[in-house]
Amino acid sequence: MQAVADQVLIERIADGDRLAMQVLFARHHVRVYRFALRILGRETMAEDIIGDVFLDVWRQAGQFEARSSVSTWLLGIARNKAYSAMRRRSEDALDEEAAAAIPDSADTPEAALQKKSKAELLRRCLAGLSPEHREVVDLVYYHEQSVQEVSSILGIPENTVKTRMFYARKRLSELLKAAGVDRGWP
Amino acid sequence: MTNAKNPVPDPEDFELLLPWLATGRLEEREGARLAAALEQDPERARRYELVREELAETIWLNETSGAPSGRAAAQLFARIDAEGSAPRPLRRRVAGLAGWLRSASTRLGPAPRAWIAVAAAAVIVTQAGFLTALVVRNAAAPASYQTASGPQAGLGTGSFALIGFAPDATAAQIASLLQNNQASIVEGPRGGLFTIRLADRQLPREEVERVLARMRETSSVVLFAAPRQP
Repeated sequence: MQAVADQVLIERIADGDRLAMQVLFARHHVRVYRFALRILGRETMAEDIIGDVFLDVWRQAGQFEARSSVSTWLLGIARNKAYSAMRRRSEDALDEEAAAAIPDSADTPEAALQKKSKAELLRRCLAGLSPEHREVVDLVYYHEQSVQEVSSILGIPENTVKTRMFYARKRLSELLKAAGVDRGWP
Repeated sequence: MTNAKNPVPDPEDFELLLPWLATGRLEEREGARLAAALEQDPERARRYELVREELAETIWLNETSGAPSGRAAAQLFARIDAEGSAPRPLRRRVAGLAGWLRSASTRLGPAPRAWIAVAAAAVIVTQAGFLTALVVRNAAAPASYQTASGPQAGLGTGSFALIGFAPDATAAQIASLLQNNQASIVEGPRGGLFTIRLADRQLPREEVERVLARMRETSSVVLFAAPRQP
C-alpha cells in the first residue's frame, strides 16, 4: 500500500508539491541516513548525503519510472552519493569520528564471551562484518529489499546478491564460532 | 528442487533464500515452497530461526544507530525554497496514473485486478489529501491566496496560529491533530511554518494559548506553535 502512496508522492513532487516532498522526506530520511552512515561512518557526512539525495528527488522526480520501488530508488541514489563522498575523502582524512565507527576487534573471544547475552554477541559480530557483507545484510534485513531490488542498488546480478548474502551469513557464523558460539551452521 | 534424500538443503535452493523468507520479500509461490519445507524438517526450521535472530539483531543495530538532526531537513528545504519549482499540470498527471490503473486492470486476471483495486483505493485516498495540499501550496504563493470565492488579501477574520510540524510527523498524525483541535491549514508552508485557522471568530488570547499549549503537548507532531495576527 505504501509503495503506491510513495509513487503518488513522487508524482506530486514532480508537480512541484513541497508538502509531498516533506511527507516523502519524513517517511524515508531516517533509513536513508542510516544506510549512508553505515557506508561513511560519519554523522555529518551522512546528514549531507540525505540532503543531496532528496534534492535529487526534488529535481528528478519527473524522471522516476517506477521500475523499482521509491525506497530502492532512494537507497540507490544514497549509495552512489556516499561512495562518491568516500572517494573524495582520502584515507589520511580518517578522523576520530570515523575511527570510532569502525567495529572494535580488540576483544579476544574470551572477552567477547563475557557479553551477557547471545543477542549482544550476535550484534557485535554483525558489526564486525566487512563493509560489503554488512551492506547486503542491512539492505536485506533492515531495508527489506528483495533480491531484485538489492541487485538494482548494488549493480550486481541477482545470483550474486544471493551468494553474497549467504557468505555474509557464513562469515557471521565464523565470527560467532571464534567467539565461542557454534550455531551448527553452515 | 529439494532433495528428499538429503535433509541438508542445497544452498543454491533453500539456504540462499531464507533471509528473504524472513522479511516476506519472496514471491508468493517461492515463499510457500520454502515455508512447506520448513514445516517438514526440524533442522530447516532451526536454521530459519538463526536467520530470524540475525534479522532481529540487524534491526536493533540499525535502530540504535541514531537519527539525523534537524539540520538536514532545514538545509534541504532551504535549498528547495532557493530553487523554486516549476509545477506541471495536476490533472494530466493524475489522469495518467488513473488511466494506467484502468488499463492494467483490464489486461490482468482476477487476482492482480484485486491488487489493482487496492492500489486504486490508495491512490484515491492519497489524491484526496493532496488535492487539499495543492490548495495549500497554491496559497503559499507570495502576497495572496485563493479561496473558493476568489482572490482575497490577508487571512480574513478569525483566530490564527503559526505551526511547525515535526519532520517525522505523518500526514495522518497532522490530520488528526488538526481535527482534534478543529483547526485547518490556510497558508504555508513559509519558512517551514504553516498558518492554521483555530476559529472563524476572534478568540480570547487565553483561549488561543490554551489550544496551542494542547497542540505543543503532542511534541511528536508539533515542533512549534505560536499565535498569529490575521
